[in-house]
Amino acid sequence: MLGTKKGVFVMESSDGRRTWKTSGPHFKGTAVYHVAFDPRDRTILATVDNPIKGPTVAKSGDLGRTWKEGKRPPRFPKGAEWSAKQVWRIEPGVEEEPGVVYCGVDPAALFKSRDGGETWALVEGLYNHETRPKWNPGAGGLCLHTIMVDPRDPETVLVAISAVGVLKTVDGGETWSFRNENLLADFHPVKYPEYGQCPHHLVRHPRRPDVIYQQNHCGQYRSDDNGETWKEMVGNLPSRFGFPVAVDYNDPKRVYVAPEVSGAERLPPDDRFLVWASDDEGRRWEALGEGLPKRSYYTVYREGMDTDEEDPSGVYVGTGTGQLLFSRSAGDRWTVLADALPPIYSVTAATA
Amino acid sequence: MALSVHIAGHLKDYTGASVEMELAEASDVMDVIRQLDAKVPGIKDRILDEHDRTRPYVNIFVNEVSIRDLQGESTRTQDGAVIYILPSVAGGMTFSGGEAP
Repeated sequence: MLGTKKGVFVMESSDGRRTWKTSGPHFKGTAVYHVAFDPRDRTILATVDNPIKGPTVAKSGDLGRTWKEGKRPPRFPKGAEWSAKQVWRIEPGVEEEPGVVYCGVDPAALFKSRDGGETWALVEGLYNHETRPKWNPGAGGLCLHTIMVDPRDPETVLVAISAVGVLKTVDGGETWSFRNENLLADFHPVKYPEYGQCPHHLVRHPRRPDVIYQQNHCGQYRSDDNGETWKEMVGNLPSRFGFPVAVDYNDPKRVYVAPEVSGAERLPPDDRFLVWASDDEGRRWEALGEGLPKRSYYTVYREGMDTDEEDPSGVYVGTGTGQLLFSRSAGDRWTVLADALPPIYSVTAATA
Repeated sequence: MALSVHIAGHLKDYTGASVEMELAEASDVMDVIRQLDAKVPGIKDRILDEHDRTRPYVNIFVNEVSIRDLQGESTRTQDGAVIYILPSVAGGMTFSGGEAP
C-alpha cells in the first residue's frame, strides 16, 4: 500500500511476490501521508489531506477497491487554540480493543477513535501537557508522526513529535512523560535536553515488542526496554541523518535505514542512494547496493520503507521521485517494482 | 420564498449528484451550514474548521458577494438569497506551505 502525493495505490501479489496487480490512485490528486492495514478486520486505513476539505481519515473494507471517509474527521474541540492542518499517521489499536484507532496530526496532537475511525476525540492528556506551549515546529511542521500502542498493554502508548521528542503514557493517555534521555539534539544549545529532540521515525519489532528502533535527526538509536532508554547505533553509517527505519520480521536483530546528508542537502551520501542493514542491532552496518544505480539521488520519506512477513523478507522502499524499489531477499538485490509514480510518502506491506 | 444553495468542487463528494439545494429559510450563513449538515452529515466539518471559521480554501458567496467582505459566517440570508460554496482556485505551491512528510 502506497501513500503518495496524489493518492493511494494498492499493489497485490498472490504468487509469492512474483507478479503484482495495482489499483489506484484512489483519492486522485490528494496527498496521503500514511496508509495502514488493520488485521483485526482486514481493513485499510488512510490519512487523506485534501486542502479544501481539510484532513480526514478513510477506510476500505475490500483491500482498496472502494473507500469511505469517516463520519466526522479529527478536529480539536471548541475552545482549543489549535486547528487540525494535516493528518500524518493512522494506527490501529490492539486485538483486545476492537474499533480503537489512533491518528496523529499537525499541530502535534493525538486523536483516538473507538468506532473504527468514524468519529474522533482529542487525547486531552497529551494536549494539556505542561510543556506544550513551548513546543516549536521543525522543518516538517509540528507533527505527531509516530504512534506505537504496546501490543501487550493498550494503556501504554509511545508517540513521537518532530522537534519535540518521544513521549510515553502508561495510563491510557491521561498522563505523558518524555523518553528522550541520551537522544542528541545537536541543533539545540543543550545537546541532551529533556525535550526538543527531533525523532524522524520509530519502529517496533513485531516479535520482540520491547525492542524499538529510532531514526532521529541526530542519529540512529535502539531501545531494548520499550522506549524507556536509548542507545546510539550510528556505528559505521555514513550519516547520522535520515528518515526511514524498518525491521526484519524473520531476523529480530536485522534493521534497515537509508541515511542522507543532513543540513540543506538532504541527499544520499557520496551521490549514491543505498539502503544500509545491520545484523547485530545496529553495531555494524553493511551497504546494500546490488541492483541500485551507481549514481542516484533518491530520497525516502519517514514512512517510505517497510518489510513484509514472507521468508526471505521482502524490503520495499518508496522514493520521493516515485520509484518503488523492492528486494525479495532482505536487501541482497534490488529491482524497481514500480516507477513513475507520484512522490511516495508511505509504504506499508501486509499479509491480508 | 426559499434560499438556494449551490455547492461545487470537492464538496460535491458529500452531496452526490445534488449540487443545488433549497432551504425553506435560514437566518444567516451559519444557519445555512447547520441545515446543510443535517441533510448531509459531516459536510460542516469540510466547510468550517473546528472554531466555526470558514476553511482557508473555501469561499462562500451570498448573492455573489464573498462573506469575507460581509459579516463572515454571521452574514444574514434573506428570502431568495443565492448562496454559493466554492473551493478557491490556487496554484504554484503547496496549500499547507509545509514540507512533505
